[in-house]
Amino acid sequence: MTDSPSGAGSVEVRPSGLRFDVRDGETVFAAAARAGLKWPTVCGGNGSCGTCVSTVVDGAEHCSPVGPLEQEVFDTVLHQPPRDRRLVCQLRVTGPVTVLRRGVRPLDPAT
Amino acid sequence: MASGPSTPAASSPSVPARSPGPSVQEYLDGDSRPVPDVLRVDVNEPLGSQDISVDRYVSQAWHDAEVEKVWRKAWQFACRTDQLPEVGDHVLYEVAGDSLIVMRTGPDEIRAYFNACLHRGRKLRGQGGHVSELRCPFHSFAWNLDGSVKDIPCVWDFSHVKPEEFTLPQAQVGTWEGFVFVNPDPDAEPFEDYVASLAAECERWPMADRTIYFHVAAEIACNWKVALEAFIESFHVIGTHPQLMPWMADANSQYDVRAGEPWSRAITVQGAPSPHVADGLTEQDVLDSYYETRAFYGAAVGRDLTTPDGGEPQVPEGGTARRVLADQLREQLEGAFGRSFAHFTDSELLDAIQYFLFPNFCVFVGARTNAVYRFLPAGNDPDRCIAEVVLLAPEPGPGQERPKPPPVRWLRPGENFADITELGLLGPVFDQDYFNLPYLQEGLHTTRKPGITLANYQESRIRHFHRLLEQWLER
Repeated sequence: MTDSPSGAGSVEVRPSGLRFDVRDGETVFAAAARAGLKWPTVCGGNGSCGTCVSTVVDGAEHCSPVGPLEQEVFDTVLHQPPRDRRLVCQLRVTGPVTVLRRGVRPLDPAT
Repeated sequence: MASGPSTPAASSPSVPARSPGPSVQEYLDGDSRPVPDVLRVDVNEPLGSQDISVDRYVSQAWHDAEVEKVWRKAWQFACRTDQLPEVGDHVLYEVAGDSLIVMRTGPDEIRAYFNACLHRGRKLRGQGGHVSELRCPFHSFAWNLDGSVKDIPCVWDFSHVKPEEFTLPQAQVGTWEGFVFVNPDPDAEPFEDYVASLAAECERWPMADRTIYFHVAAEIACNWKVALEAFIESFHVIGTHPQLMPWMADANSQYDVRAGEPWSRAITVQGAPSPHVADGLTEQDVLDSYYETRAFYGAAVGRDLTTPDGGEPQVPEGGTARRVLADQLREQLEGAFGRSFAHFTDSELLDAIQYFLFPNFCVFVGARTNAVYRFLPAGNDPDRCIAEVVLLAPEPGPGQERPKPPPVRWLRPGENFADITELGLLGPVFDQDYFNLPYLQEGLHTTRKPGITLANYQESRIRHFHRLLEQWLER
């Protein structure tokens, strides 16, 4: 179920206000990296640490469903149901989404 | 930005390397109050880097040795004096097949009787409670509360028994700051001697007047040492509690270990970020994260840090989350307890300052709720243990009633700590910790590696614990 033929998504991060586009099929984490941003992580985006968990504030309808790997992290690491929280290393978006996560920052501080 | 990393201390053969990021001492340098000397100590006597044999956690022989040399010889936390207000009040303290009736026998006296009738051995008491005499349900032999024999039924049939030799045997009892300790060994050093150096450490944090807010117990599928060791280091936050990293300075915790003491200490700064995620977090981020995860337990009684009207406070330009949080906490605790908390340092309000006393007693000190952990083997099975958390609330305020200690709340099979509302935000955190433990025990059974490997600094308290354990087993 896509919202546009190209599947183009975008993310705005709060409270920093950072924004970036998300391509069809790529995770928000990977899109952030492509935009020169670092998302808090321990495992580097492999879906095994739970550190990148972020709150979807707006645009939940554009978010991919929670898959088994992501569910496992919620069940066995975070010990809470996903609800409005998602692992951005597993999340794909097909429209504009606003996400609350502190600590997302440009890799190059001069940016 | 949150303060940047300082140069990690170079390691030498005798001094373990330390984490990047500010040290605990550097955080204390920024405290708003004068920091007491006891928190200014930073000592870690190296005890080597050798692996610890897996055998210790899984073998029956090792468990049996612990029963003989530790559980029957060492000072152990049994209960709080609060649980024994009246003469005749008692609780049972049981470990590895031994059972003690820990009873108030006088206004200033607590005794511990071995829980066995001297006739044919039946346990005198099957549960704690209040009695005016100790009468065996089997044949009605009875003892006075002072342990002297009261009634031998059909005494004509016991001409061979001298009443004065039928006094109930006792274990030793000692108390410290409201904690009642017992020792089954009549030849053990007095408790005052054993606890002296720890008592001196904790003088600033009296606990005698604290009340038991909550007591939870759970039977866990792991060795008691596996459970204990999971709670005497903060290294595990990175994997087990990733959501805490924004405001918990885990890897740069301070661990104080002296080879010659039966205790060790950890200080984990809170309200400051983990070195693993510090890059990219502002002080406001840290403060907001702290409020979001509500570091407090005891929401129901107003000890949870609640967002003030008007939302989360703003960290002033050049200020720190720690300073703002500490001020908020002082205000909130004053409101809850009707007395000033102004003299406490930011650290004593925010940080996890935890002491471990061999063999199985952990206590968090400071201004807020003091949590106590106790770990015991479950019966004589090296693969199972009983883990307990006792939450001690600050002394009630003027005009506030002293609450009765609540009964122990056992975790039911299939129940989560998060289901226990009295634990507040600690519930999900404990679920994260306890979820690991059965897997730990199973992993220890299958590993082909003969020993576990410990971090030199962050896991030095585990190493120190094992050094003490070896010493006790060699006695």
